[in-house]
Amino acid sequence: MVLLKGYVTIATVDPWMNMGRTNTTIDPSISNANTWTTHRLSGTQHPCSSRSFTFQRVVEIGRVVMINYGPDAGKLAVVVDIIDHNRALIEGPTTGIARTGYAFRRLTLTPLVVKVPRGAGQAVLKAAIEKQDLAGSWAKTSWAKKIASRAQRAANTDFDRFKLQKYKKLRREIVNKAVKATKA
Amino acid sequence: LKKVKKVNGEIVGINEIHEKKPLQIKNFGIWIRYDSRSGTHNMYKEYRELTRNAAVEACYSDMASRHRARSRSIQIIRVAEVANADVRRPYIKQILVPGIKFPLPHRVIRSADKAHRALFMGSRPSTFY
Repeated sequence: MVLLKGYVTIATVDPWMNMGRTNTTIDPSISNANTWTTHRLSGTQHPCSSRSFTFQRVVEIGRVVMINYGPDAGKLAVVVDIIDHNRALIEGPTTGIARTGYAFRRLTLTPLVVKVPRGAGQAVLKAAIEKQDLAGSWAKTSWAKKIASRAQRAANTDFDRFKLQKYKKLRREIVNKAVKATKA
Repeated sequence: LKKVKKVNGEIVGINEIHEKKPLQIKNFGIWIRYDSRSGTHNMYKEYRELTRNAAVEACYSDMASRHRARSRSIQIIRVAEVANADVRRPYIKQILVPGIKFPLPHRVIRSADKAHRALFMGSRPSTFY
């Protein structure tokens, strides 16, 4: 069982609990129930110790990942196949990532999934991505919006910063006036 | 088996084996004969790789780590592609399960490049994905 510090793992039936250990025998009859649950032990200092955590972002065929290291950092790709417990075969036909094996260490899972069969070819993958409008649904996520706003702020000219200053001041004045009115 | 030591033989030619389908994941079964500290043994190991060369490299690294066998003590008898149905090792079989999915339980957030590494952090990072 994978024992996380301060956590108690429940739902012990999943064979993927043994990942990383290559000399344990996996019983194929164990159902692949999606029962990833860890309950934080009450009494730890964590502020949300009453919540139960399930892993929502899961490595699977079709999972959209962001490459987080190397020359292609920041680009999205889709998991096309899984090589072993450390690496996946990923491809991003719309973002310019060639089909390669990538370590999970260099990837960040996103909440998006594309419906493709295991080992799908580039054409099938591209069609599925475009049909689902992955670019659109990615742009709607707050993650993508934050990246965009960071990029915009870095690209602001001095005039843009001046305009921003004026707008923020205007907003502040309106808000403060309204607050003062309610206090009076 | 080839019982020639480097000193006694002469390298006539070296050619790299180019993979026919380097983007297709294959299961490689490798038959090895290696010398341990107290005898010589045969082994059969399986690796899931994209190319034959990568499988052999993985094999040498694996033998070095698990059995402390240096490359000079290893003789690779045979490298063969194994079909999914004929895989023998459970650690490979578990990847071949259809509908495979697993989480990554311990997420380490690293900076995208060495220049932006932080030496100190304000608060302890969360490793929940």
